[in-house]
Amino acid sequence: MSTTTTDKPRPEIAIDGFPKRQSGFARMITSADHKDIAKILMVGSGGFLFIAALEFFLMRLQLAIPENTFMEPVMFNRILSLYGATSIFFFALPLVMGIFLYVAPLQVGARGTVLPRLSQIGGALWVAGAVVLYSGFLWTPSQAGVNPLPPLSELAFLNENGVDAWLTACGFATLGFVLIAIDLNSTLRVDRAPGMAWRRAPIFSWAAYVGSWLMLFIGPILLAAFTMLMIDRNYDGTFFADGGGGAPLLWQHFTWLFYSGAYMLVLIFAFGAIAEIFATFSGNRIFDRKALMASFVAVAVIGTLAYMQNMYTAPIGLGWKYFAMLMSMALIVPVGLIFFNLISTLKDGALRMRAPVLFSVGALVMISLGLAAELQQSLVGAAFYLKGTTDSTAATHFALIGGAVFGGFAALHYWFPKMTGRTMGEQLGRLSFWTLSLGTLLTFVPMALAGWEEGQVADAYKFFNHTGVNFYNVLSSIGMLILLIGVILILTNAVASIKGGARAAHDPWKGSTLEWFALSPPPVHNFDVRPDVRSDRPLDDIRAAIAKRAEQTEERAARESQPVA
Amino acid sequence: MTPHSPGTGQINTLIWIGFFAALIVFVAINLGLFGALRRFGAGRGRTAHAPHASQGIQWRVAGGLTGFAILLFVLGIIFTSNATSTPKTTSAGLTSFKGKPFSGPLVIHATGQQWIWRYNYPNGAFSYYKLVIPAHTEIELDLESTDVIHTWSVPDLAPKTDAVPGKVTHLYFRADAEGEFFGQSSTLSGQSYAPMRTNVEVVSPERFEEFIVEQQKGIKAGQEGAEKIETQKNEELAEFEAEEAEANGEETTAEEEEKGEETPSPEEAEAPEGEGAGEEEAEAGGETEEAEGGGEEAEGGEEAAAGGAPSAEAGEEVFAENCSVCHGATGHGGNGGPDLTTMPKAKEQKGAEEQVTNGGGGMPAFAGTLSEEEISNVAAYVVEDIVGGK
Repeated sequence: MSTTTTDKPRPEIAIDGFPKRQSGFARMITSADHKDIAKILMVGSGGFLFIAALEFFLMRLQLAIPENTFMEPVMFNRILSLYGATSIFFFALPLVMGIFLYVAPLQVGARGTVLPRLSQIGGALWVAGAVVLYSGFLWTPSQAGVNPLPPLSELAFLNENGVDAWLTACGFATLGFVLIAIDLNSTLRVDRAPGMAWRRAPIFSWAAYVGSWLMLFIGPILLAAFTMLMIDRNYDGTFFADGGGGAPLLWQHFTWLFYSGAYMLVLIFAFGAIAEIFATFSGNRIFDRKALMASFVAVAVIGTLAYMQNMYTAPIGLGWKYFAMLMSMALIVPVGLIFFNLISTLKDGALRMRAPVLFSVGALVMISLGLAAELQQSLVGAAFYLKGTTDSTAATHFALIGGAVFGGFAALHYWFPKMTGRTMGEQLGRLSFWTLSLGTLLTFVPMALAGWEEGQVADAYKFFNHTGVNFYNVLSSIGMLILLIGVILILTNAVASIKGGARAAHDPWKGSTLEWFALSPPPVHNFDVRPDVRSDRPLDDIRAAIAKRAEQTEERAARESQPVA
Repeated sequence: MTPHSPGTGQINTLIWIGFFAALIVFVAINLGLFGALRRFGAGRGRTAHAPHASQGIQWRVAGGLTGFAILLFVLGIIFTSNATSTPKTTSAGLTSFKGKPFSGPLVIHATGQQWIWRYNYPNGAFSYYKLVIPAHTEIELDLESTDVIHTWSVPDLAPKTDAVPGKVTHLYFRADAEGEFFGQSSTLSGQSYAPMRTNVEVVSPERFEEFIVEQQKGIKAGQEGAEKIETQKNEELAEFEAEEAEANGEETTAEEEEKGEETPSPEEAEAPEGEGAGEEEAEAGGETEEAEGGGEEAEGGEEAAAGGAPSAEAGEEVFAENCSVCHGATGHGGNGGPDLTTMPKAKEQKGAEEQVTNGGGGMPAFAGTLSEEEISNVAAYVVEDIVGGK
């Protein structure tokens, strides 16, 4: 599908000497440019990755030895609740939405987003949520856990305003994501470069498109649930309180729908980024774009509909549980196809083994481990034992660490040159990769075994001696220390590379999508000229056109320089 | 887990099926992935030759995956429906109850509250913390919660099930082995979530009948005492309310009411005394309501001062671990246990030690659980800090 090209190649637009963008803090926070908003999200989520890892480490410290008294139960529950909010709403989702918001408009050749002020408000709301969550000195933090299930989260049981703060913070963040999703969705819908039909759009942009639809669907549901709980707590509502006819299970339906959707969002993000990375570094085309694109949609829909697999022990009809199991089993097909196509993309290529590929492979291993473990637990009967044990915690963490940490840093390694004009350190990247991998495996494999073999329960502030899980827990705590070190290493690498990384050209990886056509970092308007798109690898066409033109020029020059006979 | 009931046997099998399915998926993906990486590891001058993607291969892969998914789904349904089907009482089980032939499920109500389970047996007997059931008998456990969501879980015997406030969940199972079984709630329910354990003792049907009668006797005796006190209390309350009404009446304009009620003033003076006496007696009644709970392992005793005078400081920790489950974190009652400040025995060291050591009135004996030193420490804590109001 190479361009035969009647249209003019435009090498001359990629020149140096552009007027430099003004930088600075004030510009950053007042900007409605999608790249600046995305930077706030990405930098913020990097910080929260460290905080979340630290919180998890503190909890593991408490759980290192049986019946530990290092931490009060109340303090443990507070850290647990903070960790839940931090890891999902302030690390994983903003990282995903941030990279989507940065890269996808560039990939489709847009000169910005179409509703920039929405994204700006979204970014500001997310920051506001982070401030609310962490100005903990103003209130006692929530003790209601990762998902604050009513009635525990009702006023009758937790009458400090910690839960209100938790809900406000996560609500602000979610509202922010929804606004960003609206902007992203509209941009990808209406503002793609001329000629870029969906069949030619980059796979990562498609992931962003599917992801933004997903967020538009699940975000408002969570916001509704949060609002209802706020009304319960502050205005004598009875949505979820059982006295007065409320339904505690309603909350579980709403929130598990969101959490399952968010889980799928992270996976779709990771798969999209990995597809781009594998295609670029192996020099192959994406094996089957259509199958991959359809699979993303299927994962988003089916995976979200399988949300009731979180409620296998709840008093809902057995038929609903079978429905959730059916959806979970149906998820095998698109996820399997995604893995098949990603691996086939990698196969038979001329692979350059750089840090982005390394992280992508790590992400696929972790995700496959996590999803395989989830598969076991999505069988209703198996969940009658495994739900609520540390085995289910471990499975979720494998998939989400695979998607958000490994997948996220694969994407960051890959697009870092575009964002900063410098590459992330390769050696430190490899070191941090192996540290993270070792840490993740050592933390969560023993946790899974403790949950499976001895039924150790999740979220508990202590475990008892002589229950056969001492060794597993010590191992897991050591693993968490390694994982924390890995997180510190990778964040150090990212921060140090912003100013000190090796300078990169505009297209350091020889990518074939349009973001590599822009300058690094791109100017406010992204592109001087929006190229016409004639295939699914527009940059290859441009390169070919440039080469052809150079050849023609040389020929002409050669011809002209020949002495006239 | 070691399954000891027909249902959990099915669950265990399904877990292994799930494990092997997961293993197959994981191994297949990673073999493919590393195969692709190994064969074309580094691009040493190699050029990419794009593989041919045809619709055919996608359909074949999708078809294979669908078959795998359907197989798992069917297996999941078969084993789950087996695990949730109600098992029938066998001949070795409870076939007669109180002399009459007995069939059908033995219905026991389990009520979860922060952070202990209460079990109501068919004949009015109840127990806290530990559920005693006959072996080989179909049990219907009706799960309820009075406050937040709790999970009733004894992995060896029954599927994990949530007790949601406002809903009654029926759980059917049959224990096929005698012995003690443990589990733990697995839904975060607040501060003492981790020690909220589930304890089931499976006994022979004969022993079960004995147990239920014993339990009933103890409860009856307690209830009679409590009722007596309750009526006394109510009388006092009525008097007190009358006084209150009178006082209010004086304040407001209704002077006629005052004349009509005619409360003599001497009684007013007596009232405080009467209340005091009632309170003292209330302790005895209160004790019967005490939960049979807090069966956690002893801990924190090591730090207790060796020998010498009992240390209230060391006792605080023992209290938090063992007593607060029923008596509340501050000892002012709460989860089935009475307010310690109203107990006469808790006013002096000797009485408190005796109560903790021997138990009684629904409270378990801690003689085996706690060392003597710990008992004297916790007694000191109760006497000095809680009752003494330090």
